[in-house]
Amino acid sequence: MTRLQKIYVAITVVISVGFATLAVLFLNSYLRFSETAVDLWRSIKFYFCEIFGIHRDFDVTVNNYSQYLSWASWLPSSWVGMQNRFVEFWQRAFSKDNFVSYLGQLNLATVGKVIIIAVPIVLVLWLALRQMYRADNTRHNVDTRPLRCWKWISVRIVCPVCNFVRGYCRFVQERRAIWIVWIVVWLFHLNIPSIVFGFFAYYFYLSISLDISTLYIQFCKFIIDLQVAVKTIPLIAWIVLAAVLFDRWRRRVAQGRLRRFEARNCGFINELPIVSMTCGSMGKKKTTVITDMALSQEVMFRQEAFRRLQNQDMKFPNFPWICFENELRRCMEYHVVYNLATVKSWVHLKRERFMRHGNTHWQLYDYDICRYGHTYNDALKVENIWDVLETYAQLYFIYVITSSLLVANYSIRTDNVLMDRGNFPRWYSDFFPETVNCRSRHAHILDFDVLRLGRKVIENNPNNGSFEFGVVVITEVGKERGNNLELKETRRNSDETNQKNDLFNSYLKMCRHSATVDNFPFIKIFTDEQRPESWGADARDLCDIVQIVSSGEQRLTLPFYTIEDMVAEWLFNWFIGLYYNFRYRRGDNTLLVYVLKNITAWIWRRNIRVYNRYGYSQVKIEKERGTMDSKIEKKKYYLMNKKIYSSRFSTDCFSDYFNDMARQTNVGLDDYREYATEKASVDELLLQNSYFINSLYGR
Amino acid sequence: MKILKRILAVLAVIAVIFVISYIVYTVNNMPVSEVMSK
Repeated sequence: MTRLQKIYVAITVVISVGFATLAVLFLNSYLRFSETAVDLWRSIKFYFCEIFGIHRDFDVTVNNYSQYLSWASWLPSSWVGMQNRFVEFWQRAFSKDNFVSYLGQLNLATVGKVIIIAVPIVLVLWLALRQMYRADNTRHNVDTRPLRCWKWISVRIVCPVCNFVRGYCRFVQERRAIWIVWIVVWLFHLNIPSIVFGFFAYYFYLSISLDISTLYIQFCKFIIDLQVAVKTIPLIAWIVLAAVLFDRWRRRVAQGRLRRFEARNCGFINELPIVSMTCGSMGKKKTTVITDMALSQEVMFRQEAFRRLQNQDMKFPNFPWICFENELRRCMEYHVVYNLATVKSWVHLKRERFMRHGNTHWQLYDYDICRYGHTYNDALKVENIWDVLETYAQLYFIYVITSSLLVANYSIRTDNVLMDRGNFPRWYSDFFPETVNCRSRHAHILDFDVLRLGRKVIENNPNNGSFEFGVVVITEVGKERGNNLELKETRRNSDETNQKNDLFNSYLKMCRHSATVDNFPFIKIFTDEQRPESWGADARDLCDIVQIVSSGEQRLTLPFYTIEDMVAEWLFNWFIGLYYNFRYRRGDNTLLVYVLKNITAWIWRRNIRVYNRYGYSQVKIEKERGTMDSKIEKKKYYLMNKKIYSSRFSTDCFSDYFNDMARQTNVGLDDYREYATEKASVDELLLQNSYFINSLYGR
Repeated sequence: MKILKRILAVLAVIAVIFVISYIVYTVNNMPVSEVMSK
């Protein structure tokens, strides 16, 4: 045990002894507890005696008032008294005299106290700011004497004390027994167990006697029991407790709203056909929207696979699925099984072996066919166990695959986690977790050859024909595929692979065939482009066009945050103005700016965290068929900050191309020539290399 | 709209504090009820 730990133990002993000694002050709570214990015991005896018709020679004491706790002075002793008091309260509340006397007690003394405290503070602050601005200097990063003093105090006293307290809190936290004992002791001090025992005592009594006329007595007893806690805990602690509970409540509400928005988004995505095209001008967040949709779709595919797995399981409820899953996972590890086609081959192989040898131990894991049967009749068709196993294996393969289901022409980060304790794995796919998830996977690189049924860019590409299921995301699809006008010069019978002979569009029309398991297509293709017409009509007609009309302003799901938001904004704006004025005048560091900056930064960071955690924007969408002759449907899509802006993708996904070009030049913006005057000279015009200017000068 | 929302929020907070303190004041100034003997 280190010296520090010995000190912690000593402090713990002192605190524990202190808490225990306080029992003297709360003696009545313990006496009251003994009363409720007797009440409970008698009520239980009463309960069983009445149930079994046993004669009883004791009284039920649950309706007796406590002998140890005093009566609350404002509490009427009977229900009628309570009613009278209630009427009296409303009469007083709406009486002019009471209101006037209330206003009178809000006297100037209260306002005066506030003024006496606030005025000197404001005055000192104002004088300090005045003094600060008066002394211009360029002493860069030099601390003033007060700041040096504060830093010295902070390093020598404040930080060590804080670290010690933090360390002690950790010490207590790690030892559950200590804080559990402390909590229990304090609960007894504050008379809480008496309330719990009293509740159960009355429950046993009421459930047999059904004497509801005693309800008011119990209410009075509850109030009397509660008095100990109310009087002991100071008002400020109640306010802090209320604030903490209120904050928890509103965060739960905000979280619930985010999840509802996500559910609505999923509904919207499910309505889309396999291929969709999101359009909008620059900055309308079209890539953001398709990324968001792809992330949701990936989760939905896994949920769908899971749901269908459950259905397959129910067809043969006594089949040892865990053994089947384990063997399949071993085959995946050894790369015997790596796509849906090989999954099917693997099951076929097992079936053949079973037909040949009839060995249920190896092929069906000792499944008792004679007892449980090998067929399932769903009133539409009769399925053999091997058909079900084949479907189950494919669904399990889709469900359990650990890498992302996204295949994209730009990188997308996913943070779904496969939780596995060696049995059936579960996916943790929460987009709004309490903590930041550090385990990331990224989308697979989209090799366009896998989407070409005709000619390929690389003829012997090893990836050819390998893509079966997943979520394909293609940004700027028009630039990749072109439209009829752009491809006018391109010939189908050209020697080179091009958009007309690669049969990409045929793949789009047939892609669901490779991805269908249990009659559900596990494939979706999301694309974006600025204009629908940029993609050729043959492909575009397959899609639904999702036109982004507007991306709304930032909103919050967190209720009752307006005032905090306002304070954070005002404080930040005020401080930033003051701070940059200060920096313009002075180069040194002062205590006042140091303190103000740290307070403002704390509030600013808290505000930013709230917006990142609970912020969202509503995207207005118009959906129409790819043929562009249908009625437009107006929809809403929700972009939640926590989901889509937590490093999901890079908005400048093609920036490296431009970086590479810029790196190879020796020129920057600062090196471009400026116009000498308000009017460009001929030389300056010619420097534009403009078609128009060159044509004017016959170049 | 944003300013209106903020003004309403501030007014709502003041109103809640006012109402609570008024209720507490009224209850505290009501005549004491009969005290139950032990």
